[in-house]
Amino acid sequence: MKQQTDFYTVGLAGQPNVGKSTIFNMLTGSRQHIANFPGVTVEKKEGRYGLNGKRFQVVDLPGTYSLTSYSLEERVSRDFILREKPDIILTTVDASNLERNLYLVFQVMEMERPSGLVLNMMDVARNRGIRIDPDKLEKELGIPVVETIGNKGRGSQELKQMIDDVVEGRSDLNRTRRIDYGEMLEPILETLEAEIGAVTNGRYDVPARWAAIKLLEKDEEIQKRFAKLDSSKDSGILSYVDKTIENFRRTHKKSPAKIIASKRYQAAADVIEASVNKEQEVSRTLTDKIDSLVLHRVAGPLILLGVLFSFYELTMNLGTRLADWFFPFLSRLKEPVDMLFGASPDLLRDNLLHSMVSQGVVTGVLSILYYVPIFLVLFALIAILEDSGYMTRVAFIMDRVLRGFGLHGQSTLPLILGGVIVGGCAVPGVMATRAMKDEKARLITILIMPLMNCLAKIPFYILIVGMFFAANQGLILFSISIFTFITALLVAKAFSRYLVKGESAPFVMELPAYHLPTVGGVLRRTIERTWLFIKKVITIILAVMVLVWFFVLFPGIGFEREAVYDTMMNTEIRNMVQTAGQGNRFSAYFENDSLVRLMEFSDRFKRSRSRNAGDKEALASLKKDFEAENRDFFLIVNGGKDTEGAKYGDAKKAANALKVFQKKLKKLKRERKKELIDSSYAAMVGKSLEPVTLWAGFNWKINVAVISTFAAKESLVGTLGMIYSVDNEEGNNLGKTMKSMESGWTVWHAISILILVALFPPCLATLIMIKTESNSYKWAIFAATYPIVLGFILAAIVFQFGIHLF
Amino acid sequence: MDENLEFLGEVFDFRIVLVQRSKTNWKRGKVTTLNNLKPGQSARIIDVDLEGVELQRLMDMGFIENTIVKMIRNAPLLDPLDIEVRGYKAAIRRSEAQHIEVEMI
Repeated sequence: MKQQTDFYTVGLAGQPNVGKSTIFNMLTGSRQHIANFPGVTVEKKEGRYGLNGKRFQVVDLPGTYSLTSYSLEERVSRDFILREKPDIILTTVDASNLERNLYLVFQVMEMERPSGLVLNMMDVARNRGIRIDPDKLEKELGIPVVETIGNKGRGSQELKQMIDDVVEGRSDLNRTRRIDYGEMLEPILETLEAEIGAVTNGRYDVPARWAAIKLLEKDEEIQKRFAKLDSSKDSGILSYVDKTIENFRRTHKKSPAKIIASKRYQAAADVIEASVNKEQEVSRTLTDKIDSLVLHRVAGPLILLGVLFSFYELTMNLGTRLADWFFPFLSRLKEPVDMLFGASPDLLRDNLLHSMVSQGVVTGVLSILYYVPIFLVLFALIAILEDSGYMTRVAFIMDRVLRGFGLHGQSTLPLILGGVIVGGCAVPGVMATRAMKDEKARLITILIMPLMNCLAKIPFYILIVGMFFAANQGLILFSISIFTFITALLVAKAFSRYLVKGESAPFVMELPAYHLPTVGGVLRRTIERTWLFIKKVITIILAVMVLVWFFVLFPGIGFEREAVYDTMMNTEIRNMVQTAGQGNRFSAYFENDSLVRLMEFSDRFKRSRSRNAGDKEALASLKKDFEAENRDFFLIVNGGKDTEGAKYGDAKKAANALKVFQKKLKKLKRERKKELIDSSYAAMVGKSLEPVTLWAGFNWKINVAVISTFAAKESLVGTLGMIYSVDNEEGNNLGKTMKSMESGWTVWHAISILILVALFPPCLATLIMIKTESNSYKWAIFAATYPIVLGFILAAIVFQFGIHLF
Repeated sequence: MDENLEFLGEVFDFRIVLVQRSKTNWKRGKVTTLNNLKPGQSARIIDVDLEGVELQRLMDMGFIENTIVKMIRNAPLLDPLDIEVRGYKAAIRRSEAQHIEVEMI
């Protein structure tokens, strides 16, 4: 790639909370691509832009405070710099927090790639009375500096110009500042550099001084690299370094690593001394003022509770309302599919392929798309909490509580994403644990993620709660959240004590200054996360729904029973002809093909009519259209009247007969389908489990639904819908149908199943995510099994207790 | 012996600056650990008594010898602490703060 002179790679480094993503967006606009760095689960954002006929590829590196080998993100960042040799590394810094940021800048500069500094958040710095002289800063650092205000898109042209200057070698600042590590370390570094040159001998392409520093810092990864290069065990470079460090510690009573870090900060302080002028001390910044309220001993937790509650309200109310408003439009997607297949020539049975596509595929996709508006609201709110800086305050307040259970303050965000308050998704939840430095707490957080109220559980909660606790829906849903949260905490506690080993890493977390989130930034993140969810579920849900469709409808009820149903239908057709009366000319349409067409016409007419209900003009023109299409059919479906209002007796009689027939046919269809499901493969499995599951009050239908959810919980309600074969056309919802068919159900049945579902195992996609994030199949399998065992036992206990005592 | 002298020198240097800044609040530097600071109190880090990743993480965040830190507040449940260090604010648990030796100023 390097040979192409017009193609350049730009690496984007920076500490967290410096607005690096706004710089990335400023450079690349919407031309972005998200992938992972090779072999690891660290997100790699790439984008492109063109300037002066050249193409620039921008790679966003993970935000890190340092470049050690202690965290995956840091390793990924520096490996990228070493291996890909980007044409320029831009380090974005927060101008209002320059000192700690320069600490990273020096480390990047030590890797000896052409560098540039992006001085971001200049407005914030100015408001705080911090005056930075960019020219002096340039001279001090020896690299070009550009001022930007990323969230307002300011400084874009200058930045692109600077990048161009650097990659073209036009920048006259080609001597970067080198940190002087002092007379204690410099001689050692010099010796090591020479040694490294001899050892690597061109086999390991790495800046010698950087490698020398890393060896003195006891950087494990670099040690490993050199162990491979240098086979001589006792006289080799590593043992030399060990001895040197040992000697150093003896004479100076300090490790070289401490001196190195201290010199870097010293250099940062020197640079600031020379180029920054604090005009007047702003004694209390706005952030300080907000914090004194938000982190107040009494007000803080109350505000947190309020924020979480409004979060709940907004997602549940606004999100659900949006989803309900949007869904009818989505449902129309079904119509073209139905049209594509046309009417089934068999009034009793659907075309098999049609049934698979419509009930399996389309229903599955629609059931996912229903959640999209809820997701948009949820992810937007989370993005606002993150971007504003409040999320770290949540971690700050919650840490003491969560730590007691083996978790971490930073577990709060993953758990919220996973749905601790109201419904989320375990996939982004598990992904969000990446930000956690504490490996033990991170694994525990991942493991309890399945117990959160993922959005897919919500429709089921609503279904059951609506059936049994209609009066107190909100209260019950809230209780479910509390129940899952407490269970999750206890499980976490047990895991941290008995199961997950390892030391906790130190908890040092920046409490960044508050920022007003930008609309663009929030939208971008929201859409990214929603899209991730859709991508993940669509494929899986398709497979599951088709599978469920097959298991629920096959092997069928056999020819004999089918023949019985045919006979019953033919009887009904004869009855219809009779009801219409002798010599009724409309009876001719009650035969074979024309009956199929008439039924299709009638369905279509009803649908169009209900869609345009209330709009008189539209209704009138609609009727005209149908009348023009087939006048006789229209007279029947319109109850014996034409559009002029003239009445036709025979048509009226035929209309009544047809209505009766339609009702009877529907009943027949339902009976047949019920018989079909009762003898299906799914029923066989479900029934064989009944002896055990009845302990918790679950009949085989629930068993079938539960089994199908192993692949995706989203399908739970859908599967139940299939099993109970709900007819949506007449506004019968699943709740009503289930209640009428399961009249023996008590409140305890409801509570029992709610418990089971609340503690349900994660879906396949989450398991895959758990596998990648915990890097072990063992934990993924464990996360798949323990919730169902726990859930079933708890459900059985509560159910047995309930039905025997009350 | 040398080290002690060097150490005293550093302390001395530092105090002169302090006296100039706030003449009224001058106190003899009591040596303690960071977790013992009360809200509003400032101190100078003497040493971080940790190794490996824990030490490196604290150093990366600016907790280094001779750095001035200011205790801002406790979390509502008294832990972690909100500490001002090198111009920004960091949350740090008491269990870690315990390993940071400071001298009150």
